[in-house]
Amino acid sequence: MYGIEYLPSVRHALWLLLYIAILSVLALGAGQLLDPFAVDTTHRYHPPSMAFPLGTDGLGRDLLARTLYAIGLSFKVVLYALLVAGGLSLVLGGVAGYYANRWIDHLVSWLIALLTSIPFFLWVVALFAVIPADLETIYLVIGLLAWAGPARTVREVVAQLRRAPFVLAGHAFGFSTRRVMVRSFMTFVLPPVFFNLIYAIPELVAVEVGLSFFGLGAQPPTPSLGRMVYEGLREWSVAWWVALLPAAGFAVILAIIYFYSSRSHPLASE
Amino acid sequence: MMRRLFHASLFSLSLLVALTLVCFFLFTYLPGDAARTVLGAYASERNVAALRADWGLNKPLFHQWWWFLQGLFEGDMGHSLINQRPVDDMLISRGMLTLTLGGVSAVISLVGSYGINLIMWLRPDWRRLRYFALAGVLMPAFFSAMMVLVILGSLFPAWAFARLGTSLSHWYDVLIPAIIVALYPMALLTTLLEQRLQEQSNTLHALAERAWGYGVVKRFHRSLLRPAALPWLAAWLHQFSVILVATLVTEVVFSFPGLGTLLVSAVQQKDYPVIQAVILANGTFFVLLYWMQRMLLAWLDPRVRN
Repeated sequence: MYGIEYLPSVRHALWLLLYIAILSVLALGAGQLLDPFAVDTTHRYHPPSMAFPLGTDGLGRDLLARTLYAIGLSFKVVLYALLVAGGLSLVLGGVAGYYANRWIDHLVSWLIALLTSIPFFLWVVALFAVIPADLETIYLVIGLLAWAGPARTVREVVAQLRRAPFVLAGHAFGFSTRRVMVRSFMTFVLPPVFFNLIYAIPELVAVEVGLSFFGLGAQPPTPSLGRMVYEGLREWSVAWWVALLPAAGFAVILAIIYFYSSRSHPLASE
Repeated sequence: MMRRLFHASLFSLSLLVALTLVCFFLFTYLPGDAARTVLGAYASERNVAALRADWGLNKPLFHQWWWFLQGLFEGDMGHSLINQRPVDDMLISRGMLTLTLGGVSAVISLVGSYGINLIMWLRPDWRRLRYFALAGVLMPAFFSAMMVLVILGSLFPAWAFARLGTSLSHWYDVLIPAIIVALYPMALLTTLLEQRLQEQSNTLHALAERAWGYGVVKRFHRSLLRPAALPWLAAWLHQFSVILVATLVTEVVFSFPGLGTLLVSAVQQKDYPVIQAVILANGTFFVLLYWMQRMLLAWLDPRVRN
């Protein structure tokens, strides 16, 4: 009732977020140290070895450095996007739920339906086909599109709580609407939103990678996983590792996130 | 029910109108002056103005959007900026292939999750199958696609080489990418259905039907699958957007001549009419799907109706 069952698992979810943030910083740092941009034409298409664990690409750049740096960037983009989406969903979903069945609720609900009925990826591709992509716009746009799912949850919870005794008591005490919204609803709304966002992480990472796969993400000198895989596919017959190994690294990272997020599931039995 | 149908239809229509508006603004209005782009930087101001008047670019935006809509109704989505071919031809020929690929993988994911659960029900000691299913969640489509390419390429080198930029000639050209696309949704659906079936197997009605002496298979369908089917089907419909993305990406890996490969080349050449057409067609498909999903769930589940 009222989302109480989520509370014990919030700690797990916080750990997951912290873990991803640390992973992002570590990957960016390690990638930076190994220098993902250094071109070395004497080592073009160097197969995986002790010196280059993931090999090198057609410009002799170290693929380990590029993969790490790209993973770090993906996580950074996703974390920022989650912040934007979380804030938006709290505000818009909260307002819609509080004024349920008024025009503002209809408007927000319509926006949510518009954003969720058409696949997320299509929106992102449509926008970035026109807007030039740099890292800031990527997380802003992803955040501006990803709020719809959590906002729906917020709206449901707030609309249910609107007539709860303690909320009515708050009104009777003469608290301002804003105080009632922040104090009374936040405790109940935050955990489910949190889980909504946590569950969006693999999808958002996939969208970011898919975006750069289609050539719409971070632009060339900046390493991005999707682009590396796409370019690697064209050099498949020359050097299989250029596409396969970054993809494998990415799969491993996704697996780790998946296990963490499934352990932090509020309905998980343990 | 008629009232509901009317409301849902009106709602979906408003979503479609919004979709065309967004596409119109993004791809026709924002990229700048089409007349100037076509005539080039050195064309005289007079010629540009003439072409602009000819194309109606100096009319109010609302008019332009209306013409855009009229064009859509007549199946005219403009011409590719790169090879001047009409976009709707490309869209139909490519779209059918993508639809086939996506449809086959949607069916595989549904039937596969049902089949795995049935096997796990009949043979409880085969529950390890679920870890096999989990592997699908962990692998992004392009990675599993590449793995399959590697494996098949070492087994049948001729086939893998033939895949580099040719059209489809065999049934397995569709089936293999379709299985790859289906891996992830199938894994999710399997675990979801397994949870639901587990819940159902502890209920009193399941016990009662067991006491009546129904057979194992009949109990699976009657007392477990039927009450569990609704969230399972709803989740299946939700997975369509995942299937779309995986299909587009897998197409590129396999050089499958569908919308994904079309989109990649269009994006690289900034071929706006083609990108717009791909977005519009898929968006329309999903709005219609959303409408169908709402009607279907209302029809199946009386609780949703009121």
